[in-house]
Amino acid sequence: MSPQYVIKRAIYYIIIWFFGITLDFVLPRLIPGNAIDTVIYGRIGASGYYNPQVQAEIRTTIEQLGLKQYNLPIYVQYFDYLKQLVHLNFGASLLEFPVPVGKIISEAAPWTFGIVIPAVVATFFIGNLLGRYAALGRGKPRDYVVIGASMFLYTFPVFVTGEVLIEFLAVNIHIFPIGGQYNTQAFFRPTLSLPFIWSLIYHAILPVTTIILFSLAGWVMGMRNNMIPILQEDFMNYYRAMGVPERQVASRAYRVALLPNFTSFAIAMGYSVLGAVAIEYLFNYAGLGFFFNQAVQALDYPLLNGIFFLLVTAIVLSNFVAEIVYGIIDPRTSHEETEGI
Amino acid sequence: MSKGTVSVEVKGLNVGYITDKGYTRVVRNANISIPEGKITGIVGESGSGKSTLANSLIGFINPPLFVESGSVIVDGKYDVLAMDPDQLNQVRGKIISYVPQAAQNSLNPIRKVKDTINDMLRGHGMDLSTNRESVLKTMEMVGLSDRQVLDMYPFQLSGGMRQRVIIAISLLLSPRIVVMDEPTTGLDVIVQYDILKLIKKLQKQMSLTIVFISHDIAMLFQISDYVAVMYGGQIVEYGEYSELLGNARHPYTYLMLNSVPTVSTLGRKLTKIPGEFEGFSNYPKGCVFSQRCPFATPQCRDSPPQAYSYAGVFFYKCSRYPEWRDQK
Amino acid sequence: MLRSEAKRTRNYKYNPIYNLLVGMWEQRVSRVGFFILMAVVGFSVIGLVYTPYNPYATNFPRDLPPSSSHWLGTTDYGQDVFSQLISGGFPVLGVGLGTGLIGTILSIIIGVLAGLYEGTVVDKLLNGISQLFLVIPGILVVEIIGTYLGAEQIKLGYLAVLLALSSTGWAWGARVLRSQVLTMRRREFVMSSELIGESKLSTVFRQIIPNNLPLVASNFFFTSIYGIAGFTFIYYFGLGSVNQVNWGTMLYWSLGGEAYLRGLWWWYIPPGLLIGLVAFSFALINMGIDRVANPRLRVWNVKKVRRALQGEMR
Repeated sequence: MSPQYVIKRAIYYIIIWFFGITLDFVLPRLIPGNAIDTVIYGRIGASGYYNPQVQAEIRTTIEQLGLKQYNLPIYVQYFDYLKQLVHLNFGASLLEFPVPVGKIISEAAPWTFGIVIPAVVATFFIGNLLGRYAALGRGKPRDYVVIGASMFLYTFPVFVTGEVLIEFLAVNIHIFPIGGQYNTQAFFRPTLSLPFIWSLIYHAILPVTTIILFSLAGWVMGMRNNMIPILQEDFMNYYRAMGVPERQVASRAYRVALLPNFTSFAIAMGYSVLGAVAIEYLFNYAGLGFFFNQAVQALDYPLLNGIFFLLVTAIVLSNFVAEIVYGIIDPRTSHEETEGI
Repeated sequence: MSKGTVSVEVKGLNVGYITDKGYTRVVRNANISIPEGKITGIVGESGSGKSTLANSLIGFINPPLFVESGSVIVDGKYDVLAMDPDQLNQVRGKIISYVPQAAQNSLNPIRKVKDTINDMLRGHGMDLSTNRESVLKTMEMVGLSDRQVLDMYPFQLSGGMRQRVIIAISLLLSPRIVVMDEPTTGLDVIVQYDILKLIKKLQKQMSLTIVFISHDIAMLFQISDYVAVMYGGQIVEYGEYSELLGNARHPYTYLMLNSVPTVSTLGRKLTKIPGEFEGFSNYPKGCVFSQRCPFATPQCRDSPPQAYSYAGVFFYKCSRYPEWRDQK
Repeated sequence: MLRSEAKRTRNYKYNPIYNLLVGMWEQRVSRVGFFILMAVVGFSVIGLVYTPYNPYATNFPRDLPPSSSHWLGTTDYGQDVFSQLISGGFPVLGVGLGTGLIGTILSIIIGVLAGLYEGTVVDKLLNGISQLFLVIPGILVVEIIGTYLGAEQIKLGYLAVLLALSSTGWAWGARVLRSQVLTMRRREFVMSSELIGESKLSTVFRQIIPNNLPLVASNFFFTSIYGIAGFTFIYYFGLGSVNQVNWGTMLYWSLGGEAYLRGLWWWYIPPGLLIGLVAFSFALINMGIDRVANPRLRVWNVKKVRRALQGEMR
């Protein structure tokens, strides 16, 4: 894989990333009138107004959102915006004024990744194996059951799946906790003790399970639809014609079918964060998704921007990584350059 | 012909396709005895059913293909169409081997050659490291003396080299019978010639029984000892190649041979067979070739001819032989 | 033959569409999907003319479980769930299918334009934009737009949601169509028609699209699923006008009323279920289309044929 290729793709993704950021810049400035001002100043209130630190936060917020007080030309605004971005400074959250947005995000992010990463990893394994199970038995009842169940869980609104899990596994039968990240009555703050870790896991099971159920279909269908044509490929038939047992043929096919899925793995990571957005609110799980929803409901614009920035970066990055990883894994790509755009 | 043993015996084989609208029969009532230790060629146009027949020889009939009736007995004892997959895997590769059509696509594109060989060997409970010597010997026999080939990916090899790799793989387990389905398609002419020479050499060296399927008439007659001619899913003639060349019993054989440009036909107009095959869903009532046969009579179109055999195993399906020869 | 004569003798629109529809009907997967969809649509249509009670009325006893007088019980606000359910379907279906329709049309336009003007600035631009929309998640952008509009006390109505979702959901289809156009243009039958002088536009509509009908149909259903999911997402988080009655707002209110914590399953499971069924039916239909388009994915019933043949022989 030539360095030029990597650099070319990197530039490409950086451009996309810039568009995302610019979008974030443009949107608040499109709103006519001083509606945003009203919301913001309404939130901040008069009490924190004179504190110099608070003043600084307010100024950053004004800059980031391009409010009326910030009467400089657009390109200057853009540069200031970018300048603040480099310092990851989004101003202070409106709802939790004057806590800086950056602080909220950095505390929330680990929780989100804490559910997303195990969920994606688990779904990858379970989903691919199920897809293989379905592909090998295609046309038979097990194929229909696997496809039907996974597709249904996917099209069923993910938050409702979560609600169902809560109602029946947490409320009716007290197997799992209703929500929260850990037992707040037992632990005042996170410690590194075993009981705490167990509490963490215990509270993460339902959210993670919800994401898994929801995302299975992607892998199942992907693997199944990959594997079926591969099983019929000439080189697979050649193995069979030479007397290689079907079991071994199947695992060869599985490997070939798995290849493109590695690309999807990275992308799935990116999109699972979106899934987390959907359900964290439900489970009272204080991750990025929770705060995103809170920001949406409470019109907390700085926080919204901060989280959006993080999400866009995460997704663009995961797409880029996916492309590179696929290039490395598939020997065909690393020996020939693929088309650009 | 010398009364040798029969390697593969096909009896009353009917194979077809499952379609959206039901079932279409392709191979019709095929009966042929493939002799041991010789090269038997099966020639026919595209769509004449020869690949389907070839696949039946190794028992490779998967949906939408479907065996309606008949049997294929390999090496006198293996009824490949009735065996279950586990039993079949014992036979395939070890007793009867296969060189696929468009062999370029038959090598696993994301595995190096040596890994594919390893896959094949492991499918039979062996592996590359313990059999390295014999593998290398086989590679040399097919003309691939450069050991670097083992470490390459298929897309890095030329068409001719890939073909040699496939042939080597098919010989790995020392089978007695090799079915080759258009082994030279897609290769350029000089490479085709080399591969043909290689096949002939291997056959002599290892006393193989080879079933060679092709639509290239000239090439087939160059290499085969015995030839079966297929048309519309039926074997219309089967005999020694020299017999067919000089004294073909079936009009189709005769016309087909006369349509090949050779030195002797220089300057003359080549025969063209008018019309085209009606298709398997529209199968002719009488003799399968009757619509296009210049010697056909209304009786030919009405009732299908039976198979007239001679010299034991050879046969032809024409009710107007030898009369039609006077008419040409 | 003159072009006008040629047009009269060929039924261009008839065949590819007809074949696709017949194929879809024959595949069991899409048949089942179609029936499910019809069932839900029928249910919603009934809701247009009849509801047991007024869906907006709040004068019923609260939190009642399903009973003979309230088939699906009541909400925390004293509304009859069943009435809400039966009348709340059309917005969902409308926005979902509308997104599919508009999104597909957009992706056809953009994908085809990019493919026809391959290599030029137009192509690079359009392709770049689609890649953009692919990577940056549309639903997030819609939510953000909704939040900013919230400052102005503007809530997203059905039309706004429809437009927002359509404008973010076309990217995938556009890319696929573009690559199809590129591939097809190199194939002989298209090249020969271009050489004869058939205009590019005509080539598109008479050769390329009919040959890619399964793809376009699949794109339609795929985008419709996105439309339904997006709709649900937006209304669940309260960005849409929450005072209307549709399955999405039912989910919103049931969340706020903590239905899942209080055992009021009849409030949120039915709307969730119906939303899921609609999207599920689209997915099934899509699977059927895939099988029509790619015979390799089809499933063969060997036993049936064997039995039929044995029946013939007797």
